[in-house]
Order: sequence, then C-alpha cells, then structure tokens
Amino acid sequence: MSIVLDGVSVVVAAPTASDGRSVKAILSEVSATLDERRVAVIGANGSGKSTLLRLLNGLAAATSGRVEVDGIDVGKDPRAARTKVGFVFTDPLSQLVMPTPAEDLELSLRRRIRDRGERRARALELLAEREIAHVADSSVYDISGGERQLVALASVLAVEPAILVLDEPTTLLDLRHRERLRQVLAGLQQQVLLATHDLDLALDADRVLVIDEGRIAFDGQPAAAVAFYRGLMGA
Amino acid sequence: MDASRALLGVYVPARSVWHRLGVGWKYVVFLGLAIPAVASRSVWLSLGLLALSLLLAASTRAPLRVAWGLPWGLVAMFAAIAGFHALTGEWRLGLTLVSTMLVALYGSRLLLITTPIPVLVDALVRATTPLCRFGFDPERFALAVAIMVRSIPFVAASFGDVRDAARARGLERNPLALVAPVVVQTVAFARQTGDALAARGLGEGDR
Repeated sequence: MSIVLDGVSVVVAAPTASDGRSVKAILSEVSATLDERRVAVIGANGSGKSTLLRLLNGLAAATSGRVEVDGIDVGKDPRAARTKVGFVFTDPLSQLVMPTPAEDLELSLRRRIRDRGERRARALELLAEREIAHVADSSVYDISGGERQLVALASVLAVEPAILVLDEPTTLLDLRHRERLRQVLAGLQQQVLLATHDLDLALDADRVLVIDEGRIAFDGQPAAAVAFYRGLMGA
Repeated sequence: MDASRALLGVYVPARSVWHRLGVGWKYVVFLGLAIPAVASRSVWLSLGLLALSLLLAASTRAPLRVAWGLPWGLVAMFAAIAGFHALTGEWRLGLTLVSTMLVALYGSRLLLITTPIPVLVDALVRATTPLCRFGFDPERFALAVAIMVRSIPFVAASFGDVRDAARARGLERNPLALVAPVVVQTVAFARQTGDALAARGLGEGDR
C-alpha cells in the first residue's frame, strides 16, 4: 500500500479572518510518499493534520495537487478511494450511526454478508475479537468512551479497508483505554496513518510527519520528529 | 442524551408476541391504529385507539417508562395544543388532535421497540426491491429510513440540551437562542452522519 501526496494544497474561504484575507491555506504544497506500515502525523491545533487525513478518502478535497491511495487518484474517484481507506474519528459518537454496537457492525457488514443471521454472528465475533462482546446490545450512549472508540474501530475494520486512518483516536480516552487502543493498533495488518497529540502513540510509528502551519516541517524517525516538535512548541 | 431514546423508542430485547411477529404485520397493526385515528373526527374513537395503543405498547414487555414515557418537550407541546383549543372552546378538537398524534407515536413504538434496526432495514429492502427496475436503490432507501429513525430523536434531544444551555444564560425565553443552535446542531449532525457513512464506504450504492 502506498499513499502519495503530490504538491497538495487546500485553501478555504475565510470571510471572518482577523488578518483581512478572504481565503486561508490549510495545507500548502504538501508532498510525501508514505509506504510505511505505521505513520503518525503530529502538529499543533489547527496545523492541518485532520485536513491532511481527510484528503485520503475524499472527506476533504485538495484545491490543487494530487492525492493517490494505492494507485487511485482520490480527487478523480473518491468512492473507489473510500473502499480502500477506513476512517476513525476523534469522537466515536460521531461515527456510530446505529443504536447499538452490534447493529452498527451489522451495517458495515451489509454489503459482504446478505444473510441477517450470519451478519449478526459475524458482528458478535468482531466485537469479541476486540473484547467488547458484552456491550453488543447496549445503547451506544450507555457504554464508556473507550468501548465506543473500540466499537467505532471495529465498525470501520469490518469493511476490511486496506488503509486505516485515525484522527486523534486517543484524545477522549483514559489511560487504560489508550493503552488498549495502542495494543490493538500495533496488531493490525492494515497500513495505519494517524494524527495525534499523544506523543507516546507517535513514538510507536515507523515514520512521523510534523505539520506546522499547513506544511511538513519535519519528516523522519519518531524520536527525532517528537524532539523537533517539542522544540517547535517550546516545550 | 436520554431524550434521544425517549421519543420513538429503541429496540428492547424480549420474548413478547410482537417480537416474534413479522415486520409486515407490525406495519399492518400500525396502520390499523393510525389510519382510523387520522381519518376520524370522533374524540371518543381517538381516545379509544389511544387506550388500545397504550395497551399494545405495554404488551411489548418493554419497561413502561420506555413504552409509555414521553419527553417533557412533547408533553409541553401537547399541553399547549390542547390548552389552546380548550381556550377557544374547541376542547374536543384539541383532545382529538393530541390523541391522534399519540396513537401514531405509540404505534410507531410498537414497531421500533420490538424490531432491531437491521431487521427493519432488511424488511424495507425486501419491500422495495421490485422498484429496482425503475432505478430505485432499496439499500440506500432503507439506510436513509434507518438514519431518519435515529435522527429524529437526536433533534428532539438537541432541543433539551439547547434549552438547558439557554437557561444557564437566562435566555430561555428567547426563541432565537433556542431554535438557532438546534438548526446548527442538526446540520452538523447531518454532515457528521454523512462523513461517518463515507468513512466506511457506505451509502454510495454498489459499484
């Protein structure tokens, strides 16, 4: 699997910008080829991390440049890209569209498994794999934030994406659930690209991009990238 | 977010006769309750159908607060409708209107409390598959209905959250402070739901 960003810029209208400009560049001329299994993107709030991730399955569109996922030009065929790229949001409640975890997984499985009994069994199996079978029929509002995040992850993985993109997946989690999610991510077969403020999670990656004001400010080994980022933030 | 479950009801696993009944039959019962209530101008028929729908909702074996409970906003709205008509000397009409809406609400709960959403979606897909020849997409239609069922309570719950926020700032009597945030939240929710489906490659039809 390979992700190619070729001179990607994203510019949005900013009619209320304090500097008087009518447009704002979220990303400017970003280029990178990402082949590693684990890639982390770190940067300050508003630096463009989330936008960069959303480009990969067409949730955001590049103003100029080219985004390619496994040979698919996302700008030209976002639907095809979405079949390859699963996306996990920061807040799992935004992600879960059915009332219970089991039903949400069944929704993901609809295209692959037509028989409802089989679909239900597979959904329960997938929840059991994540050690959250006990919440299968609970309301998504009644389970903990950590369980919700694992359900959201299971729902996205159920469609068997080749690439998994996660936008700040540990932000709402306590320490125990954060560690559990780290273990789960470490065991996945998919290529994983995640944006995070969790520097321990970033250190687990094979490669780290530091984004600053819409540009790649550093691209390299995790320890060096985190040190660079700390310097950038004055921490 | 309890209100999100209070309006239409959510599936409650149980072993009632309603849980064993096919979705099609439940629709028939729903229509059997709702159509006479809507078509009739008789306050007594409406009240009779309301009593019947309450009994049927209770027979789902869901806890009564789930089967019968109403969000406060809805109670206030019904009270306002009934009160207005009583003041204008048309108490029978007010009572008929409120009981008819309640019949439709409890009738829909009969379906939603006893039917898991995936079963409902499957039934809708089966029912609309013959329309494929006209370019209709049953999967998208059923998904849209399932999301609508989920969205209506969300919007209802938003009113509760916004009311609390407005009250905290002493703005509970300002209609703009109550309505505008709900509209914004609803639009944001619609976008989030679209993104959530897109994140799993769902809702775009089969390729």
